[in-house]
Amino acid sequence: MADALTHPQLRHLLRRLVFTATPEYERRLSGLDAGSVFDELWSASAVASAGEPEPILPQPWRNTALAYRALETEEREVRRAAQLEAHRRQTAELRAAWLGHMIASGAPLRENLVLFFHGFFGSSSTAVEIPQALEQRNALMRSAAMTSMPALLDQLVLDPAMMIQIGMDGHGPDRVSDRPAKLILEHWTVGPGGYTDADVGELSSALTGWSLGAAEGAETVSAAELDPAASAIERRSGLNVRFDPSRHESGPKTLLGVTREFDARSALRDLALRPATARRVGRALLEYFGVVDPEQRLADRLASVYLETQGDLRTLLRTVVTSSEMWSEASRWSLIKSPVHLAVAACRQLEMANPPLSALTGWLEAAGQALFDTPNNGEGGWPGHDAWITPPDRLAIRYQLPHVLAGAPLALGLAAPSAPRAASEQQAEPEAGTDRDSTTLAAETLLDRLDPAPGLALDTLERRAARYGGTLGFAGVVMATPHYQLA
Amino acid sequence: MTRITRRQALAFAASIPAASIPLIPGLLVEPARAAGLSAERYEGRVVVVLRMKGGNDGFNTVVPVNDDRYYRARPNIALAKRETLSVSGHEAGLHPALADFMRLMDDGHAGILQSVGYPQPSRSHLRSTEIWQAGSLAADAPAAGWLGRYLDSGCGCDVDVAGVQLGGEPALTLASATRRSRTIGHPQLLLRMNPEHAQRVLQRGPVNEPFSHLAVSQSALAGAAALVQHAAGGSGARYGYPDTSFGRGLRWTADMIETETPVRAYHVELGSFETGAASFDTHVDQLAQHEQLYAELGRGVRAFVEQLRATHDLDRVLLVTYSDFGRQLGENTTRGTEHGDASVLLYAGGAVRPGLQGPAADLGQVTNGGLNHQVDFRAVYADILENWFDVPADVVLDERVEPFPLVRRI
Repeated sequence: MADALTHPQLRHLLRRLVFTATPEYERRLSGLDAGSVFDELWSASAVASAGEPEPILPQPWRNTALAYRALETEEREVRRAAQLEAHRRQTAELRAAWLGHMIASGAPLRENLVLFFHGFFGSSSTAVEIPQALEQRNALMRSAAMTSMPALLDQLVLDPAMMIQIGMDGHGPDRVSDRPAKLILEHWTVGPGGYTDADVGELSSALTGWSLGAAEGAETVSAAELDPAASAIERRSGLNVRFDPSRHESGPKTLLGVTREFDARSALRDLALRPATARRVGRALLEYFGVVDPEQRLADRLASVYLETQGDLRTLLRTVVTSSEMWSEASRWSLIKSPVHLAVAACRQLEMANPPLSALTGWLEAAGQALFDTPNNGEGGWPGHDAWITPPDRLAIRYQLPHVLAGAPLALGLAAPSAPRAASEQQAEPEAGTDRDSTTLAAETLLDRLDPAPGLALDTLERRAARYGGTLGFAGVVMATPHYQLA
Repeated sequence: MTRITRRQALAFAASIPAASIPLIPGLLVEPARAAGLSAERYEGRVVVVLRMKGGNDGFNTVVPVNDDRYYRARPNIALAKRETLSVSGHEAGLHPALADFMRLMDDGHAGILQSVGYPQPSRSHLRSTEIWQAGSLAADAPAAGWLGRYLDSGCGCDVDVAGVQLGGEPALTLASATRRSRTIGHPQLLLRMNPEHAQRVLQRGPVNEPFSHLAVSQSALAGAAALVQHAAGGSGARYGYPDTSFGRGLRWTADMIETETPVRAYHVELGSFETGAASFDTHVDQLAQHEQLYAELGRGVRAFVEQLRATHDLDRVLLVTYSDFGRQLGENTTRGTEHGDASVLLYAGGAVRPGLQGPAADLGQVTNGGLNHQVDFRAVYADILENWFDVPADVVLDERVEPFPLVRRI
């Protein structure tokens, strides 16, 4: 695809890579070929300052509900209830902040990749519970999203939130669980069928020795002071990652036929560079970016690119974008938008300066995509595709998006010279004697801005929208068209 | 049956706690226009399946109050005999929070089957739930659930939607090869949606797979909206259902039954795996969770029975519970219990054999902490199929199991 992209092609690419087209992107990127558009988007997102928001939660996390034996049960329960409430509130703030960042970020490609990895690795705010850990993990994914798969895996396996989520914390010779090894093999690397029970055992042993403890310099709590029957979080002194060689099972381990002195990091490095991992990552990217690859030719190519470049994400994505499959008819409108993509795209299209983030995160949850919570308690990502519209009332929820958006003033910023409707008029019925030309212009601009499929008849939409009037009513009608649900 | 008026429907809508999600005004519709449902009225028998999510502890539901082995195994979470509700003629007492359910038992409208399970039990939530929902022990579970298979081939019902799940993730129980079941997570949202509008927006779109999924979902949505709007004529709001997702699901179920919706099988769910929510998966603090869940269950089922008795529908309704598995006899170190095996099954209706049924839990017959089963759950399914729905059980079940009679022939 070395030719300059046509306008519909540019929009297709922008929808897939950066949530949606915006007038600014269209101006900046028109006349370029697919590879150059990708390079521009990648460079813009790779500037760290453009992509990384300030943390919003107080760090480090301090456990205010440690289960001291000396405390009365009642006092412990009071502290734990207060902590749960604080965590719940902070997780809600975190969801809103991340969504806000996806909407406003100057590095949308990076944010889209963070969302991809969120699903690829799985996330459970219930299992992790500690919002600071979730925030820290998102920051890690954000900084590593534009590097390589092995680099990302290397950091994630020793990330506090991941350690809690998969059960690696406190994993020692006396208490070896299969769970972390199984999750890593099944969901993060080689995938189903790519390993045996023996590999699970060997990897479990390689993962031993790591735990989370009090932050450097913080007051340490001895285990003897705590109630041994208390839950894990009531016994957690901090999120500082520690390695205790005496709790590591050293010695040679055989992982997928290779025998070495594996520890957690070297085992992950080895798994990250396996052909089966390469293939799974390639397929997951195609799936996420909605590229139909019936012959599996592109999947094969991605697997070799992955192995040649040691999982370099830029090269992988560029291969996808410049492939003929990306531009085939079958790949057009072939994705059912995820709720996050629907919401982020709508806010970007409408240039909402102050989107109602908390209402939107509630809407995301109802639509089946609570941020930080993938299905099955984080074991695996969102299934996507028709699962986004099953059961069917999820579709009804998707149609409510314009109303959720209307919870805050719309800042449309339409370039129509003849005064588009102001926010205050949005709910009003069309007034008698409205200047027909200005209404049409606003509707045309809005229709263009919302980026629906070609062929949507403006007059039909308008007639339907006129019943309840205003920009919002019009946007609602456009957003309920099949094309708007697809990307 | 009186047709619902618009005013009644709006009053009903107003009684629903404020939906967190507003509605597109364009989708407003006169609720009385129940999309052709008026022609299909159904006054036959229905089954309501209630999932007690997480693995309900049978030992603290029906407490073996005269067995020391129970008290020795549970020094911290056993229920004292004097706390329980005594069941005359039995060496057992009910959990005190089941007082509402107990009243239904006394009235002859409910019962509890004891020692229910299946051979070589699994203690995995996923696998054991799959076995109960599929009604099959086959390692490769059928793609359709036990009631789904009944809807596919047994019920002879010529309607688009014959199974409805209210709330929760779609359960295998109602999954049907002929797509006759719908899961409705947010009925209140569909109450004012215009099914015709939903169809209209489909008139133009790309011809590809996602679009056909969209079309299928859109038409399912229209069907679900029609059902909900039809059921809005029910009288459930008067009966004191718990204001919880379970209570609302059960109330919608009763409203659908009352309004003669042509649905044969329903599925509702109680209990959650979410942090902070009460769960039957009582690894920790079992007593507090049971207190809440049993009260919610009792209150909900009581409202359900009262509503359907008042509308003269109770004789055609059978409600049965199921749960992932039972719990182990011995308590753990966190005032809870671990996954076990056989447990109890609660049921209610106008034509049931009331009281405690089946052999009492035999605390001498415990394997790895879990109670051995004495009644195969598929015997209950066989009873429902043969004696309730009047179809041969082998239309649905892959193995011949003698029915265990819970249904009373009337």
